[in-house]
Amino acid sequence: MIEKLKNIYTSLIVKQPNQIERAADYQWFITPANEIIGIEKQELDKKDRSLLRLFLTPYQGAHPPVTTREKKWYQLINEQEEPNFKQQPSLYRFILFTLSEPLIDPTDFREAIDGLYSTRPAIVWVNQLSGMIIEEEAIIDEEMLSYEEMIEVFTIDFYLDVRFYIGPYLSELNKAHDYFSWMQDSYQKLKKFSTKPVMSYVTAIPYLLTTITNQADGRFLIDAMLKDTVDDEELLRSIQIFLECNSNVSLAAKELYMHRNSLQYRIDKFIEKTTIDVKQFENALAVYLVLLLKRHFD
Amino acid sequence: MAELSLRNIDKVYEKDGVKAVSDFNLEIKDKEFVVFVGPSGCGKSTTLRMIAGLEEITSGELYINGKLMNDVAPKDRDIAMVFQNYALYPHMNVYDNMAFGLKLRKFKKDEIDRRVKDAAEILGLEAFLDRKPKALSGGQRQRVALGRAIVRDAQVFLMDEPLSNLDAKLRVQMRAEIQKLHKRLETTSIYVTHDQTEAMTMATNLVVLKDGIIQQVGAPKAIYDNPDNVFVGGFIGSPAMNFFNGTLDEDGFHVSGNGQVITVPEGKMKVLRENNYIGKEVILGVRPEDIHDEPVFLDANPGSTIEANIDVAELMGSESYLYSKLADQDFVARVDSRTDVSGGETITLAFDMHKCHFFNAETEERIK
Repeated sequence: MIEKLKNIYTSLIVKQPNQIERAADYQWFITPANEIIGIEKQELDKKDRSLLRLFLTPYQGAHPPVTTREKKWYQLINEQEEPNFKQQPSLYRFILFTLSEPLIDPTDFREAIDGLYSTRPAIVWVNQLSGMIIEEEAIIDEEMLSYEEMIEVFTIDFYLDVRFYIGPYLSELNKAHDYFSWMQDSYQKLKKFSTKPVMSYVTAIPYLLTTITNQADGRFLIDAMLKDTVDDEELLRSIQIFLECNSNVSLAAKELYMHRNSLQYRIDKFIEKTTIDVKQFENALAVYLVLLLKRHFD
Repeated sequence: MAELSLRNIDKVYEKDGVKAVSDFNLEIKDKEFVVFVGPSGCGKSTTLRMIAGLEEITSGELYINGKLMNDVAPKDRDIAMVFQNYALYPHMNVYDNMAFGLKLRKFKKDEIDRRVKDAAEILGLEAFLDRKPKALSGGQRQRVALGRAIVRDAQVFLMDEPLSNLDAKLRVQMRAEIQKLHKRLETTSIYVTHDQTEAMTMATNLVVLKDGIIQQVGAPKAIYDNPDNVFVGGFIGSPAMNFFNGTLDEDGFHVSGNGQVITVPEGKMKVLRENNYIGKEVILGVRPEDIHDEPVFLDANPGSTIEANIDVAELMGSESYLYSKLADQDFVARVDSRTDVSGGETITLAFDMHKCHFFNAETEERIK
């Protein structure tokens, strides 16, 4: 059907999963096969629109950014232009959320989010069923609920199935665009393996590694995971040996010809810099796989 | 007013082909407090989520008040939910936490106000309406979470392990509060728990589940007294029912391992005989409280006495649990705490064979 329509409407495009559509220029529709297509508005007259609505569902697109900060984040992610933030984000992470059904009124969702955070986080919608909550370091407070608890409050109030996928903390704003795309791509891959309502990129790594086909994705994962330690070869070698010794500090220290306390210090330093507790099995597995991937790329 | 009917409901997850719920049939009457109980992974939460509309029903039909609900959106099913974490919006006060769901449904301000104040009165929260959750005690927070459900004035309450994250004392207290609330509101309620004590104390009707299949439905006491199979007998009751393998003949039950014969009352023997179990292996089930040490009982039941070497004696206050073995088969007896026994001692105990049960050794179904 799309090919036939393309013959009539030459501007027709199919929306890609990681594309933030420029809603203003296109008229969007959902096909019976659940594909989202856009046709440039100037190519459609009133009669065309009425005709297309007979067999296609009009698609309103993502909810637009509202606050000044959201608009700046939207610009950064979408246009890849670094905006002039009034207060520069020092550390940020994306929390991808998906909803089982579209919201009737997105301002209700915003109000619920306001009730969960002490300071309003920016929300950038990808489409009507998903978006990204941008958690800047400054808005995190001790009263914050766990993501599992957030799902409960949303489900109770909105009667929706909500899911979260938690990304890594980054400091570089120039990576926001790639980070945003990577979150969506990796979530699409991850969905095939896991049905957990809350997933973190750390626990997702074993699954993601099995689907990595290009170096750029791999490098993103390595940088996101290893953060400041990425070039500290000595530290990373110590961590790898520690993991290969079944996380036994004494055994690994012997292997590395160093004092047990020195190795313990290095492990603590790694945990502090990456915020990944490498002593936990799931984290250890993820770190180990990323270290192997790094060796492979290096 | 709400009656629910679940007919031949199946849930199969497409991703891995796992059948989480199988041929689930249940009729829930108006005002009932039904408890789904079973171990982790038995399908109880999945069934609740299907009733809520949060999970799709693979096959079968769900009716609420005679109306087919399979394709009705969750928000249009007139249900209210309470979950495990009793989570509240930390930056909204108690009033707004309770009012938020109504606001989303575009209720008028004065109606929201009336409902929130009514719920606050029922739950004793009138003095705390302008407080934020962090300024409340654990118990008060739980009541606010209940209030968020009550204000909906829904025809069905769905509760998924709502007490499992609380400490033991608060759990007992909240258990009573939920029961009182149900008595007052009389809303048809479905409550999911893995805790058999909660299930026994709260349910008007109990549904025991295992591997996605209903094992037994009935009043808690009926299920406790007459479990349909070994699983139900072992799951309902604490400490769990004791099971002994053995064979039957006209003399009675021969315990596997030591061949000791335990006399079976004629009434029970007749049933076993009629069902052709003489000469066959069976499983004997005895509740811990049906194992006695009182001299009067021992004298009256010489055919069911055993010599038990006590491994551990646990004093629980009003009663003691005695752990022992009968021909290498572990059992526990619940006796009066006045019994002065220590680990390592050998004492005489007797089974109350009138209250025991026999189960088919292969199917594990109760012989009746």
